[in-house]
Amino acid sequence: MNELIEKLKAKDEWALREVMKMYKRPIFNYLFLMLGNREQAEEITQDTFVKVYFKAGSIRTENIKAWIYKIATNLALSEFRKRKIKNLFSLSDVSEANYSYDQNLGDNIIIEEALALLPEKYRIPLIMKEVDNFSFEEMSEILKKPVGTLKSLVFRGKEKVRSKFEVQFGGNNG
Amino acid sequence: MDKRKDMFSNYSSGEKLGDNFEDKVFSKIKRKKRQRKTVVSTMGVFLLGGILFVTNGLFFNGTDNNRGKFGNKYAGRQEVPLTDDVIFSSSDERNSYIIEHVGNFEESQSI
Repeated sequence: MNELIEKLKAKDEWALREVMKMYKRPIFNYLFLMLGNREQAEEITQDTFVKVYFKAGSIRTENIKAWIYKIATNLALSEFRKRKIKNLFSLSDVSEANYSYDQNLGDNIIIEEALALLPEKYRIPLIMKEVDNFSFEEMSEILKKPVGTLKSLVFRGKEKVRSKFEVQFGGNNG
Repeated sequence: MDKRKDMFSNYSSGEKLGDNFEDKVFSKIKRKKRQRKTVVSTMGVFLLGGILFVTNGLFFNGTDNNRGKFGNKYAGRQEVPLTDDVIFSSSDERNSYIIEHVGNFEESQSI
């Protein structure tokens, strides 16, 4: 990994291709859950790797995953601010985007819908913790929030998603 | 309950990244590099223009200072040295003339 970082710092194209191979899919999933829009998620995933290329010289950590997620998070947050996605985000967009899912992916639709209804402050930590398996310490570094605050946000976010899930499946599944 | 526990860990978006994702990233990088080059060259041109402007300004100021040595009264007037011989031709039969110092009217009056 160190070699990869060094090559990335030297603006080596092969290194960037390797990094993209490893992280393009998880970053895209993360951004898709955050933004609820496929085109925007892909656009920002591309922008994330463009930034990775140009900012590689300033990497001061060995945790490249956290560093890339930090870039993606900042880009998504500026997108939130720019387009006021929070207000424009509609549940129907998510449902329409997932009409092609088969039955096994039904749960994913519910997760996406539930996350879409969550305020941004719960949504981001919850996705990072539950989908991308970050530790609270890593999240604290990326989101610049205390670990305690993040634990509380994830807990409350989960409760909100759970209540949505129970509405979908009824009380019998719990 | 189990379903709920695993709901996030099993999550994978059904959405797929478009074709040629890497190529799109590299073309964005190329575009950004070009933009940076343009910005740097434009800044260079402006910087050079600025340096020339400042340098010329200093040069002209220096010339004005030299002129200032002769006093403001003559500033801007052209000095023509009289080195040639003066030839007189008389039309009134006189052959004696007094050559007087010709100066500023105010100066002459004060004398």
